[in-house]
Amino acid sequence: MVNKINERVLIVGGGQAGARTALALRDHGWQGDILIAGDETEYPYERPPLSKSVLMGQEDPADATVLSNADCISNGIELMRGEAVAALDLDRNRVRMSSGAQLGFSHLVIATGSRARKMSLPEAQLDGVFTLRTARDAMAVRSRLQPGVRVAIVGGGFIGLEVAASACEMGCSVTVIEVHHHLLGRVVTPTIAAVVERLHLAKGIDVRTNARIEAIEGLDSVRRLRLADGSAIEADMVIVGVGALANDGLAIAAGMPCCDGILVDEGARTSADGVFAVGDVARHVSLWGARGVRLESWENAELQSAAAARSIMGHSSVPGAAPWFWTDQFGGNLQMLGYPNPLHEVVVRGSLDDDSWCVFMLDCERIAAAYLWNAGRERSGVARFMNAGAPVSAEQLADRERPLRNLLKVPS
Amino acid sequence: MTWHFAEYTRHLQEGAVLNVTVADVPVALYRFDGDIFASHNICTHAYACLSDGYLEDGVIECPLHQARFDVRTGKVLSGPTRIALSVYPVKVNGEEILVDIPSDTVAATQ
Repeated sequence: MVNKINERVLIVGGGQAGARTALALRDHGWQGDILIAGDETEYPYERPPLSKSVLMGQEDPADATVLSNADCISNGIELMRGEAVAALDLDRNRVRMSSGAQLGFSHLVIATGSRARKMSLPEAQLDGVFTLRTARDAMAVRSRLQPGVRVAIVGGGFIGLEVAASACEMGCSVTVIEVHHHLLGRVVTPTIAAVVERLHLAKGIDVRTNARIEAIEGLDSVRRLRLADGSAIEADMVIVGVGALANDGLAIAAGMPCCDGILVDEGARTSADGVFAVGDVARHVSLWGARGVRLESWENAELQSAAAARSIMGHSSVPGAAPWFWTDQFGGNLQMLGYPNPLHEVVVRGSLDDDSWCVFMLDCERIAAAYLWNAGRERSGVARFMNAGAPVSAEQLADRERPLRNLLKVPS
Repeated sequence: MTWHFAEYTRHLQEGAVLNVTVADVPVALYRFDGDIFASHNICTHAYACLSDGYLEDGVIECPLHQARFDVRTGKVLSGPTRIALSVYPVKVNGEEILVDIPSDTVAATQ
């Protein structure tokens, strides 16, 4: 398809998904204008390093830039930084900026991301209480991570545990408070959660599960957390990692169907003609057999932005793949594929006491989910096999005499 | 050019990746379709040894975050980095695999 030169793709949101959409459009030969409007002042960057190498001072957020000024110039992409969009006018194909200016478009891509969920306690406004989402958040937290500082992490999910590991490596005294009975609640099995917990305990982190916070105490700045069982945790700073919410307010106000995320098909199309949504803000109506999936992941930002670019160019969509996610903590690397389900059969390949293992969840001889601990070299083979929906038995998967790559050959 | 001894050919099987140190530089040696290639062994994205990754059709995939590089050119094919991998010329002299490491690379690691 050759598009008209006077067409313009307007991308609202200057994060990884927005920037990658712009670059993918140029790769596909989009001839018209591309304009990105994002409220952050930084050039678009990837967020995975924020909780890890950035907190530990090994990298700056700018090291993970995905669209530099030079990239903008060489690709003919106009980037407006620090410019928030105030409203979408889908009937007139234009948006209103908070400055009052109006911008027109032929195609609109919403890439407004997600925001950290805050604690509902009023004291969560105290100085020393942080969430982690942006480069600015990460630099504010990093400036406080000094040896001996007492850090309380609220939430034992991926962000919480990565921040806990980083703070511990920086010499802080760290407590993790998790409301569920094990860490990483819904995303891993209790046995895998136990492996991760042992890793944190071995490094001297105080892990409190089944722990509910009743109050944050302090006058101007935070002093301690009071738990429901009456105990107290002294803290110089608190980092809250209790999930994220889609920034779908603009879409809701424009009357688009949303459910903590803008509903999209496999081509990143929303219900509105010529309007797409990508990244954390988008909720897949259906993805790899599951309904209503919103993914806050590096991979989703990559794949969905590519999908939106293909749709805008009039190319057909490719079927969704098993979602992939990784986390790095204390030098350990956990990769996850697919969707876990407590009803599925769990197969352990190797021993969970080893430095490297794989765990599979089997649904009638199909791999529904896979967990790879320091075994990333197996990922692409496992993913290919899962996406082909090929059958394999529990006995075969557990047999370490046979290399996984040989076992998981996709029948052609 | 300065050719450095890297490894004996018999230690590098078809389809394999090997981690060696050449002139104090961590190097990955690759063998596929009978040819031998060499690159820096550390991923350009995060600290991980590419020799722990998976080699397929001349593409090495980093085990940590799945950046994929063409080992012939160092070009990034996909993944969370846009920085190409440094690749080094290779020649085979009898049983010996020789790798040419640029002197500025050697100096930078010392």
